[in-house]
Amino acid sequence: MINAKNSERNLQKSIPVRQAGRLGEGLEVALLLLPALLLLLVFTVWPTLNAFWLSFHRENLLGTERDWVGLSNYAEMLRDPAFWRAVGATFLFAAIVVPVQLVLGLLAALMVARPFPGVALFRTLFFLTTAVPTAVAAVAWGWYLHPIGGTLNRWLEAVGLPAQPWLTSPELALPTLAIVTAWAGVGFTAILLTAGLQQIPEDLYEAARMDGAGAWTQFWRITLPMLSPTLFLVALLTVLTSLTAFGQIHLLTRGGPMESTTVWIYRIYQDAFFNFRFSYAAAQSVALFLVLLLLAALQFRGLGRRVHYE
Amino acid sequence: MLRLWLILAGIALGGLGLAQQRITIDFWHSMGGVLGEATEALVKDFNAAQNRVTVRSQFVGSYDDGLNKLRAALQAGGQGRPNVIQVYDIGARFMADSGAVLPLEDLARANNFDLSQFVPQPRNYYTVDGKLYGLAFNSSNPILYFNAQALEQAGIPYRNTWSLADLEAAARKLTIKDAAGKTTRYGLSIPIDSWFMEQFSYNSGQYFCNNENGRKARATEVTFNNPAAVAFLDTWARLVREGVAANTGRNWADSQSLFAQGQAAIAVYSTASLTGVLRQVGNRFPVRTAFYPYLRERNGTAIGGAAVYLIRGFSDEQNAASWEFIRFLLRPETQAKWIIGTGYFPVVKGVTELPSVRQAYVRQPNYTTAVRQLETSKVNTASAGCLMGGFTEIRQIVQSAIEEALRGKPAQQALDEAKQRADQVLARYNASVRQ
Repeated sequence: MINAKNSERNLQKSIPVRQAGRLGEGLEVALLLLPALLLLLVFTVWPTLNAFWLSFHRENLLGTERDWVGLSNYAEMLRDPAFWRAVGATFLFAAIVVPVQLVLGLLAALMVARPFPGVALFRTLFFLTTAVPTAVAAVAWGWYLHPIGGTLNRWLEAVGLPAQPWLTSPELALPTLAIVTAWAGVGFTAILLTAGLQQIPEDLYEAARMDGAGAWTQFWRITLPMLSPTLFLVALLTVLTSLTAFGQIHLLTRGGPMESTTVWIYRIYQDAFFNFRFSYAAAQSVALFLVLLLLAALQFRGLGRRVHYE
Repeated sequence: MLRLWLILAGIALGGLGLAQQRITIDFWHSMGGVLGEATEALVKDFNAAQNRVTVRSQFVGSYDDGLNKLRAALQAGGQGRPNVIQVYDIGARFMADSGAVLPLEDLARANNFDLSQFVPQPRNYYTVDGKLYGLAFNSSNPILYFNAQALEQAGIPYRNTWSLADLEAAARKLTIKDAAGKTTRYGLSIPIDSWFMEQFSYNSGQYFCNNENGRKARATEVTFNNPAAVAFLDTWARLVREGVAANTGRNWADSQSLFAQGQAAIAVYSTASLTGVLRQVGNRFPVRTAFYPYLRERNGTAIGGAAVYLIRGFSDEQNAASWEFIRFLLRPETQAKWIIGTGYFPVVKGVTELPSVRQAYVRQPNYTTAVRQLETSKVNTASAGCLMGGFTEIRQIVQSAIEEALRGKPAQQALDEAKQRADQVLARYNASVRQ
């Protein structure tokens, strides 16, 4: 099909009416993309612009009237200790989620990248966590992590260890949520990394083996460098998703105890839909947007240079 | 197939014909699960009972979701706003300040409805600046839940009135620890919720916010660091640290499962939790309920739950239709059906004397606790409950303070510090109203 289409295009290029052909094709492409573009415009672009606009205003109780206040929402945000606590919690959260998810995902991918009897079963098992909706997973984790008589604590006590207040202590709640988040994401990470591993040519390993390289050396000298483009992409995705994790926090801790799990995005949610401070929440989401943009740019520039491309 | 289409067309046409005669009003509510079914049943009864008005009910998610949808509708110039909306207790100040509400009192007076038919506490709660704004729809209060078997085994006689000191003594006696000192059964379990601090203040005759709970004038400061609230939090925290009270966090369900499994002998929930708790406990042990505790002298609790409000901007004809629905909700027979199905209590007088209600109360005496508590509560500004804006945000602050105290910060200090933050929230809210 694709080849036929290409040759058709080549044909068109060689004949003089190609301008008209291109225009027709452009129109066709535009028409095909239109529904997707419209959705993007209505549900992503417009709300984003609206958030920018809103962040420069202050509104009355019902949000039916607005006054232009310039940058005062941003100034307030920078002075607000609650905002900075949320920022701190967010980065601590990401600092746990990203390495845990990447290492576990890589381990899982290494296990199932090469075919062996029953590999499909293992691949399915690893991917299963991704198929569980956040809400369902959160309810199940709520049971496992119940402070008194939860499954996890019963296991701990069975082996003589003290029960832990997983979600009810401000020290443990955020790391616990981070692990739950990493658990949910590890399947998707594993799938992407498996695909990356399968792209690495087998003859590289053969050559290495002939040169007497052990498994460890092969991993460091071949697997990791060759996998780095995929790893980089996955790392970026994980950072971005961990900075915007919401469902599991909302369902398991609601930002508590003592605001220890009130991450940036949860602060925004509370300020907007709970405290009815939409314009202030808009300023915080614009700031988060800029940070995510900056992170993506930095990672592409910095990490991008060190990534090994074939 | 053709027949099916004909039937469907017939229904559609019939529906159109009816819709021309009937006025349709929209009712948004936040009652899910068992409560949602009971709400839908009321709407269905109303629609079947007369042929002038059709109520179109819609479950809009949590109370906060409902308020957000209302805000969105009003921002869009009122498109799609409901005639009647259910909003939680602590939204009373906000609803009155919003200017979007048609006060119930205006309609009641215009229709010669005698306001003295209302039970005083629900009426007082939703009265803002001297005017009744909302109709208390689902009204609840907090009560004590006892594992009666544990109580009997420990030789503690059941009472329906408990001071904090008595409750503490009972909780200690009911706690069982193993040889290693680890608690195997807790004496007490309270979910971390600001509501219990609020209610303990009221029940001890104290205010949660200034200007007599915001009832004499607009509240400008919180007073949740009052002696009663401090004593309550101090006791609670001490019991948690000593392994007498369980800390299961903010999630009520996590505390309820503990109680239902017999791992906590006393618990504190809402009367609205009663049906769910009884169902969860099943035949494990008998449950007894009692009045909410107090510090020195029992004053009375405020009501919780939610009210329904009429939204402004509709035609007189539409408003009359909404009023007809409200009148239906206020009828003793409707109230009787509602409270038997839910565990809430009636908001108009004379409902508890109805035979159906009496029978239900005999069958399940635990359901009478809430009503008796209401009837025996003093009617004053403390039991009217705190009226202030920014309450949802302030509750978050109180809950953080509770968590700090449970970890060892002195209760007075935790609440004093929380007051600083809460006062800022209140000041900001008040400023946004005056603008």
